[in-house]
Amino acid sequence: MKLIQLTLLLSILALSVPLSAVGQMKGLSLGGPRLSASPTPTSTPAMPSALVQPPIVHKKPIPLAVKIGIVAFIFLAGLVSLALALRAWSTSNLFDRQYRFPPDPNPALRFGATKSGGCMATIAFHDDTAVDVDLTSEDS
Amino acid sequence: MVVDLMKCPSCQSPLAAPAPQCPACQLTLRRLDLKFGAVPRHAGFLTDRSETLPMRSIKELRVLLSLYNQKFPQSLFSVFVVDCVTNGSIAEYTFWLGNRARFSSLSAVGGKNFDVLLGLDLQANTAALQVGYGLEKHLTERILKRALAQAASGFHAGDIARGIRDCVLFVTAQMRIAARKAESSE
Repeated sequence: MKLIQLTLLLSILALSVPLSAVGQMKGLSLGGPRLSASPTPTSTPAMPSALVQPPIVHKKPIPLAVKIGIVAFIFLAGLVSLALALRAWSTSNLFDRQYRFPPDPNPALRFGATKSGGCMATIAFHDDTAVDVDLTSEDS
Repeated sequence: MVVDLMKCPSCQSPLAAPAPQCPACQLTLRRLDLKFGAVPRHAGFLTDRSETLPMRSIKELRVLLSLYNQKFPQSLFSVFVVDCVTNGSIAEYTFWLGNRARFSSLSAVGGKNFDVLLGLDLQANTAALQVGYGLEKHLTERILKRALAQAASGFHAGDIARGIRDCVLFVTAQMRIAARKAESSE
């Protein structure tokens, strides 16, 4: 409880310091005497009649056909922009990007084969025995 | 980049590349031509000559393999399922098929071949996963073994379609990682 009171007091003090500074600058110090004299009242100038009574402007209502046209234009523009965005999205291939590998310029051709040199792995999956997969060899 | 020591698809003996023939068993592609004869017909993406896969699974797998090809336009993942490989092993057959059958374009040779081929022998319960010359540095033998290990549970349970799907998904993920590495190293 004491901690809350202390915090409150500190916050009031922290706020009062800048406020008093601002007040002194404007001649409105919080605690001290006012140094500046009170301003003399000036006469209010007469308000122009135009401001007092603004002219009533009768706006012409927008025709319904124009409203429908504007809505249709906005709708069509939205459709076109959506179609363009979809086209750009589909061509950008964001989620289904393609991967390419650089061709090996000097492959080690083996056994007279031109496509594959027999780089492979084999497996035996007999029904009555465990699957025979050799994973002991290292990439070295 | 680390590259596996290549092995002969026939006798599995390691060999120093390049090698016109296997120093241990003298394997060449021409010898396999004599062994296997005419090149079998191959349908798009997946061929099931054993006629065990349901048509629905074949369609789903073809869609998956098509998506793979869209993601990696240079690479074609093909699956070839046979009832039995006569006169040889699935490794030899996959190696021969990957070189003799026209899976991708004629220009995809040497370091420009990024094809992946999964061969399955249902009678011998064996499978082989092979990559073209262009992918040798990106999908090592160890990664291919891991891909087959992913497929093993499906194969072992008799669900060949699930095994193939798991294998394709694993290879897709590894290809994505490898492509990003290749992009960053360029």
